[in-house]
Amino acid sequence: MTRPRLKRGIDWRPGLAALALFAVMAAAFINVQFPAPGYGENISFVASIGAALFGIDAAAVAGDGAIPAEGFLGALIILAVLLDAALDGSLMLAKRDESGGEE
Amino acid sequence: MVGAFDFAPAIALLPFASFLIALFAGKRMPKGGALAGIAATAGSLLLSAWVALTVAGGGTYNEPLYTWVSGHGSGALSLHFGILIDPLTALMLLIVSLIALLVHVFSLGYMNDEDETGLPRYYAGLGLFTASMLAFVYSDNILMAFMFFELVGLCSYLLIGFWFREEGPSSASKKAFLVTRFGDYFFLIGVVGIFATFVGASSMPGRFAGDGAFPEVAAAALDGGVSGLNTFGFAPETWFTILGLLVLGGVIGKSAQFPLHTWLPDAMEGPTPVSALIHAATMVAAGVYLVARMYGFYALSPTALAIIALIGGFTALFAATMGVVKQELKQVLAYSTISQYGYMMLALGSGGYVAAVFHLTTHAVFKALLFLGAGSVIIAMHHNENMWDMGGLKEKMPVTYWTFLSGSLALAGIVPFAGFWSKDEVLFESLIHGLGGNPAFMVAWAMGLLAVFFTGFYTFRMVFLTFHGEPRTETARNPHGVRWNVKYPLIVLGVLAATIGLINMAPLEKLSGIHLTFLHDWLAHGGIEATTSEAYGTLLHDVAGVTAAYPLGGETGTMLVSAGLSLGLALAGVLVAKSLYDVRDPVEHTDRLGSVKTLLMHNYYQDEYQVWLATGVTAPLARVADKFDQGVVDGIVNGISSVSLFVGGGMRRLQSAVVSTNATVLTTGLVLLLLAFGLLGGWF
Amino acid sequence: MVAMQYYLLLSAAIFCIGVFGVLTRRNALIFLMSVELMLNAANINLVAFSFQYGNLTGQVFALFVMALAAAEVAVGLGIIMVLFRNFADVDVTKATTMRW
Repeated sequence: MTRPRLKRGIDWRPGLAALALFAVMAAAFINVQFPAPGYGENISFVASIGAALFGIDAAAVAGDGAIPAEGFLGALIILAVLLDAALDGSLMLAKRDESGGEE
Repeated sequence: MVGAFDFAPAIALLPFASFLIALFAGKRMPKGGALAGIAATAGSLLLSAWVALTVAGGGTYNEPLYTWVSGHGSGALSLHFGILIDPLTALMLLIVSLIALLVHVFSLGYMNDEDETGLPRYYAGLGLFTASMLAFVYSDNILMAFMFFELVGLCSYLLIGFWFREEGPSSASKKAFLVTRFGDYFFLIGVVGIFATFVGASSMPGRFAGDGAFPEVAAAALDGGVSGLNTFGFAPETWFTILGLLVLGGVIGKSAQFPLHTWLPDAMEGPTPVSALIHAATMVAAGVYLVARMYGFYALSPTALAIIALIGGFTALFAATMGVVKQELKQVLAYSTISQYGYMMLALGSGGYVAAVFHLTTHAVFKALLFLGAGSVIIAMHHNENMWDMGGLKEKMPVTYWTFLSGSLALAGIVPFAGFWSKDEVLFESLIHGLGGNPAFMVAWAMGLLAVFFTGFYTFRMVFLTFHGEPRTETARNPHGVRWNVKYPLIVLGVLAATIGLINMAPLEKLSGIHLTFLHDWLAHGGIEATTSEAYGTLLHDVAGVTAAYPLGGETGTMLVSAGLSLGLALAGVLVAKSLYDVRDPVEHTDRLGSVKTLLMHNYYQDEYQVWLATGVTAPLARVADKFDQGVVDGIVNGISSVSLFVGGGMRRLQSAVVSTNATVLTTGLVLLLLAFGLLGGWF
Repeated sequence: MVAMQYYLLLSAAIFCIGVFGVLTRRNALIFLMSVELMLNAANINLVAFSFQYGNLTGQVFALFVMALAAAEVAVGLGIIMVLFRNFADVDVTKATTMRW
């Protein structure tokens, strides 16, 4: 009864805007030229990511395998606070609905 | 030494102050503002007398006092208020302030003693009127004159409609205002025309006398040309005639000449003192006074003079015939006023400047007297004006009777009362100037002469029906008494009506050689050379071609013939009236006139004609113009706004609250933007 | 090596699938899922360019985006609950009172 079904009967005409967007973006991306990508030899990602998150020098953690990155300490702190706030907010929204739901 | 002229502004400002007092404090005053009015007009009278004495000693005054638009640079216009006092002004100031004072005193009896309500409004109106009239009289330029001309018209509207809660007075006041306004429209165009014409040749083009005054500039232009004059493509003579005729429009309206006379009989709906002051002696005189003030300009144009004379003579006859059949006391007097102002216009048109001013003076006195006498009768008859309900009031109201008789004899023109001397001089001047080669003046003279018969007739019909015979109703048997405040003004005016003719007894002077024409001297010599009657005479003779001829036995002979004719016709009219109406029980004889009676009772259908002009001609035109205004002008504006409303309505539908639609629009916009950037930036 | 264009194309495709979902789906929860898709498409882009330039900033940034997406979903679900409370349906086309 509840097996997955395709949703039929939706109004797909607005979706043409999405298709048009894809067409434009694809047309722009096909002709793009880039130099050769790549990181280098003997790299260690996680150590470098950790160093970047705390804004400390990557060489101190990863030694030779450090990959250059910017410092994200400020963003880390802010996002920690933000996640906290989001958790509390959603809890509050959920609680309020239950206790004052029939008002 | 402080001169009279330093106080000249106070002559108009004192009544204005009484207007303000009556308006704001009238309710708290014992007589509703009357005492303030009496004090103010008495003050104006004393100042006018002082001014007149100074003028008699040769003084004149012509100063612009307050410039309210100052022009800079060459050819620029400056507008100002100022005072011009020369002999003509001084005389008119005396007349206006005297009659205003007497009317204020009379109003105590007519309005206060009859327990009328709304008296502060009444005295405020009288005060404002007196102030405006006096300011009009001594205006020194035509724009200021126009402003006060309109103000007196406003006061006339306010005062006629004093009992505005009734239908008659409110309708009559509107009619008076509209008919005079119609004439004033042409006057305004004339004023603008005068300014536009003379601004290049004079720094103060609207002035009546002095530097750059337009009559003098016009005379100089006809003499030898003046630079800077703008006659709009016409020859100067033609253009000055056109300007004169435009200003004449306002004069015809205000002085109730044909065809704008229809408002004056209706104006009798106002209180009788108002009729005496405004519609007999002063406001309707404003038009004639304006022509006399600008006479140096009119004297340059023979066409304008002929038209004035013809209008005057015709109106004199026309109104006199209508006065013959009227049943109400004030209506007879109203038509009489129209007719007598016709005489003044006749005199002005045919070159009799002194005669016109003389008749203006005497008429102001005896017409105010007659109206005040009628007011006294109306008080006695408990406001019933129908002459057929009166009769036999001679014994019960002696003071009123004798003064009314004095005024009637003056009006009919019986020697030695004032009207005889002035009317005779009017007719004499028009006769001799007509004989001197101007057929238009002869025609006008004939009409004026014929009107003398009718004047005598209707005047004494009025006297006999009102005062003689047996009383025809109960009210006439026991009339309401009147007090000193009614009788004293009547006595003053009665004496004046009998004696004021003495100021200019031209026939006696010609016969006896004794110098008796004091008014002639007063007007002939003055401080301002250009406004004396001598100067006007020169202009009339040289420029307008008005010459005098005395074919009937020289000057004396012609004068005797003229005086004999007018006196004879007046006496004939009186005798016919006496035979018909001076009986115990007079009856209406008007049916003997047959169909003429209907014509006269309906005032030659002039009222119907003017109503038709308004409803049949003006109203449809106004409707067409309104349709154009609403359809085209408003239509364009509404059309523009409807376009914006339509587009807005369409745009509005994009604002469906469905999130998906918003997102669709967003995405579409993004696609287009990217396309645009991409094409321009060469991404593809 | 996979050329950069294909990463970009992939990211664009996933983004547009997300946009399609936002434009056409009526259930608010599916709407939210499509928004998540769009965010993750951006993540792919970030990582791809981090690989292109040999700089880890892109990857770290992608981590932050993921955390933010989680926070946003938490709040979004709360909003959907309030929406359901007010309109008795999670159909986004039913909540149309902010209109002309």
